[in-house]
Amino acid sequence: MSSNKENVKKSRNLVSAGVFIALYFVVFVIVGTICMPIPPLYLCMLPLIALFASPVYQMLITKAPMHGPIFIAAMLPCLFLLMMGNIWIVVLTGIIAGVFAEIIAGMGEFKSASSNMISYFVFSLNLLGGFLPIWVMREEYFKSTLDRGMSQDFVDKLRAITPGWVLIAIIVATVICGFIGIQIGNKMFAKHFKKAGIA
Amino acid sequence: MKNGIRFDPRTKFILLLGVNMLLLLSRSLFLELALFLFCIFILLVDKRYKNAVIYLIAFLLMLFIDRFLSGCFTGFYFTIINFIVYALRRFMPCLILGKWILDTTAVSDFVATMWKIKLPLTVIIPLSVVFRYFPTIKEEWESIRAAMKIRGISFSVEHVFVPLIFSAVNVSEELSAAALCRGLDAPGEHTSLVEIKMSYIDYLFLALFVSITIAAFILKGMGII
Amino acid sequence: MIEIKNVNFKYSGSDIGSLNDINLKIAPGECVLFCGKSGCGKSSIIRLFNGMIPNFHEGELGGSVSCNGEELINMPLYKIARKFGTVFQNPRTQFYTVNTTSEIAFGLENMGVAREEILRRVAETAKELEIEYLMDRSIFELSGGEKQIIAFASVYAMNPDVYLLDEPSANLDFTAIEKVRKILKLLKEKGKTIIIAEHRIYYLRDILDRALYLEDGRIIREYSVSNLDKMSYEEHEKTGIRMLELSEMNYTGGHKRNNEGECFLTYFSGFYGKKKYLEIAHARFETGKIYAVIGNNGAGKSTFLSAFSGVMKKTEGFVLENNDVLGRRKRLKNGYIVMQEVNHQLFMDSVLDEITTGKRDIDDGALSNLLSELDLAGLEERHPMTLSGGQKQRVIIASARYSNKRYLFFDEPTSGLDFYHMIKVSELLKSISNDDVYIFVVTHDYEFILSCCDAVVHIENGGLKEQYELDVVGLNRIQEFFLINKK
Repeated sequence: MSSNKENVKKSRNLVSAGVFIALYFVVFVIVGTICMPIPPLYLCMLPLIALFASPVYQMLITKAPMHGPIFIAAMLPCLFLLMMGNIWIVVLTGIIAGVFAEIIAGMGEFKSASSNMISYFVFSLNLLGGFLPIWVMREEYFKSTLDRGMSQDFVDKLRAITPGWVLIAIIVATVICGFIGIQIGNKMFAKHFKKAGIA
Repeated sequence: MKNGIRFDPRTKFILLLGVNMLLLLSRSLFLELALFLFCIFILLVDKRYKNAVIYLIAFLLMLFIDRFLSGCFTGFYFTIINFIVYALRRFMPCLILGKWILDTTAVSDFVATMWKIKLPLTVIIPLSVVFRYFPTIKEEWESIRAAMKIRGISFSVEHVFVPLIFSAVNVSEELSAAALCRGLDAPGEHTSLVEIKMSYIDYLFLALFVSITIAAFILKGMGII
Repeated sequence: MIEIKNVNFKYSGSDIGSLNDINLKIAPGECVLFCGKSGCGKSSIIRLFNGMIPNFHEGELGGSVSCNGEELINMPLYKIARKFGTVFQNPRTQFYTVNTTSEIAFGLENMGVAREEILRRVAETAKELEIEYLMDRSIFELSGGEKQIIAFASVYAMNPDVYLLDEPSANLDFTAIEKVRKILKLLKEKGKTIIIAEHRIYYLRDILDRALYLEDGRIIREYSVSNLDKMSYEEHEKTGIRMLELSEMNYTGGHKRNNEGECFLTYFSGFYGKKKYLEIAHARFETGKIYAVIGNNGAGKSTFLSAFSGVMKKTEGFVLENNDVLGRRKRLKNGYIVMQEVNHQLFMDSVLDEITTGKRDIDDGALSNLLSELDLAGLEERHPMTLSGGQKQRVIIASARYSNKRYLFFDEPTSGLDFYHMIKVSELLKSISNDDVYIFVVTHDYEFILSCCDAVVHIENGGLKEQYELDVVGLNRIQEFFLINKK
C-alpha cells in the first residue's frame, strides 16, 4: 500500500515538475527574445534570467523534491539553443550545471534553503556555453579576415569590445542576480505561497 | 509534413548534433559548403522546397557580404556587422536542421521516441507535460493580463508570478489526477500509437553524413582544409 | 456490483470528516447521481471509487469499497483505471497530450495495449462517439465542450465497466451538454454503470435511475426520478438540487427599479489585430437592469465583454452615456469583468488588500458594509487563494463595488453552482442592480437567467442578433433558444 502511494506521489511530483520546467522555459524565452537582438543586453541574459526565474525554481524544488527535474530544467533551454544553431558546447555546460545543481540541492535533501540557493547559482550558469561562440567565432573570424588581408587594426578593435573577462563578469553577475532573485522569491513565498498553504 | 518523407526523430537529432560538432572542425569554406548542401538536400528530400530556396538565397547573400562587400567597405561598424553575418552563416546548417526538426516533429512523435529509447519516467513525464503546458501558459497569461488591466493592477514581478504560479499548482494537481486515472503510473510495458522506426531513408542519410565526416577528417589530416 | 461499507474519510489537515458512515450498493448498468450542495462530499465519493482517495488525496480512511467482491482500497491506481474511468469537471486541465488522437490513445498506451489494437480502438471510439471531425487536431484549438467530449472519448477507448463523472457539465454550454447527454445515453445502452456527481441534472432525465442526496458527508436521502420531478421550488432552494425539468422554472426577475442611466452602442466594433470580431450597429442599455448575454459557442460573447469593458485594444464606433463618449480608457476605468476563472483575478495577499487594491485611504464604513453585504466579514486577513470558489467570486465583486465600477460584466458566474448558491448569486446581482450600475452576465444557465435577469442580449456571428426584455414574449424566445418545450 505504501509503495502504491509512493508511486502516485512520484508521478504527481513529475507532473508538477513538468509544469514548472515549462514556466522556467518561458522565462528564458521571454528574457531571451528581449536580450538576443541587442548586443550589450545579450551579455546580460544569464543574470536577468537568474533574477526572474527564482520563484519558479524554488517552486520546482518544493513541488518536486527529487533528482531529475532540475537537470531537465537546466538542459531544456540548452537543447533549444542547439536547435537554434548554437554550438554543441552549450549542451555540455547545461549538463555540468544541471548535474551539479542536482547534487548540491540533493545534499540538503531539496529542503535546505542554503543548499537550494547555491544550487540555483550553479543552475543559472547552464547557458554559459551559449556565449562561447563569441570567443570561438572571434578567433576564427580574425584568422579568416586576416587571411584576406584585413588590417590588424579592426581586429584589435573588435577584440577590445569582446575581452575575455566579460565571461567572468557574466558569472559573477549571474550569481549576484541569482542571490537577489532568491531574496525576492523568499519574500513571495512568505507572503503568498506559504500563507496560502501551497508551499 | 504530410507528403514529405518521415525521418526517425533519432536520426534528426543525431544529424543535428553531428553537423554541429563537425562544423567546428575547420573553418574552410569547402566543409561549410558541404554541410550546408547536405542540409539543403535533406530539405529537398522532405519536399520543403520553399524553405530550401530561402536558405540558399540567405546563404549566398551572407557569403557575398563576407567575401565581396568587405573588400569595398571598411570601418568599425561594418566589421561588427560582418562579424555577426559571418557567425550566422557558419551556423546556418545547424539552424536549418533545428528549424526542420521543430517543424516536422510532432509532440506525440517526440514522446513516443522517448519511450522507444527507454528514457526513465523521470524524464518522460516532465518533458511530455512541458509541451502540454506551454500553450496553457499563453492562455493563462492572456487571462491574467486582462484581469490586471480591468483591476488597474500595476505590472510587477509579484503580480505576474503570483497568479501564474498559483494556477500552475492548480493545473498540475488536476492534470496529474486525470492522468493517474488513466493509468499514468502503470508499470510494465508502455506502447505508443505513433510508430518510431528507422527506415532506409534514415540509414541512407546517416551513411551520407558518416562519409562526409570521414572525408573531412582525411582532408584535415592531409592539411587540405 | 459495487459496494461501499461503513466508509469514513477525513482529509489530512481537516478536522471534520468528509465522508461519514457511507453504505451503498450499485448494481451493474445502473446510473446513480450523487447530489448536494458544494462541499457535501459528492466529489469525495467519486474519488473513493477511482482510488484518488486514499492514494492521491491522503487522509484517514476506514471501511471498505469493493467491486465484484474485490477490495479496491489497496489496489494500485492503474489497476482501478482498467475498471473505472473518470471524467473530471475542468476540460482545460484534464488532457495530458496536445493532440486529440494521442489523447484518446493515452490510456491504452499506459495499459500497454498493442499498437494495432490502439489504432482500432481509437478509430472505433471516434466512430461511435461521432467525433471523426475532431481527430488529429490540436486540443488547444477546441472549444471547452469539444475538449470535454475528447475527455469522454479518452476514457471510452479504455472501455471501463464503470464511468465516474465529477461534475462533467459544470463548464459547458448547453449545446455541449446535449452532446454529453448523447454519449451518456450510448453508455447506458451498452450497459455501463454510470456514477455521477453533479448539480445540473436536467440532461440526465432519460439516463438516471436514482439520486442520492448528501449533506455533510452523509447520505441522507434517496430520490427516484419522479421524486425529483415533483420537488417544489422551496425544496430545490433548500437542497440545492437543480431542476430536472427546466420548464418548471418560474420567472422571478424583472423587478422595477428606479434607475435612469442609459448608454448606447453605435456602430461599435472590436478587432483582434486587423480582423473584426464584433460589430453592433446599435444597442441601448439601462442601469438597474440585469442583461443576460447569450449565444452559441464562438458567437462573440467574450468579445462583446472585452470590447465593451475596454480590455480589447482596438475598437471602433462609440459608447455613449448621457451624451458623453466613453473612450477605451474611460470604459476600462468604469468597467469590471468578473471572470469565470476567478483565480486569475486575485493578486494580493489578503482579502482586505484585494478589495481595496492596496489603497491607503480606506473608507472603513463603506468597507465593512460591503464585507457584510457580501458575506465576507471575518475573512479580511485570509489569503484570497485559501477561500472557496464562491468566496473568491464575492471578493472580486467586492473589489469592483469598492472602486465604484459602474459597468459590471460577469462571465458565467454560476457555472458549477448548485441551486442554492445560484440563487444566492442572483440575489446578490439583484441587490447590486438597485444602484446606478449596468450589469451584463454572459451565461448558459437557464435557471439563473429566469431567477434574476431582466433582458436578453443575444449575440450571434459577432453581431447583435436581437435584444429583448424578458416579458411574456421574451420568455418564449429564451425558451426557444434553450430548446425548452413549455408544458
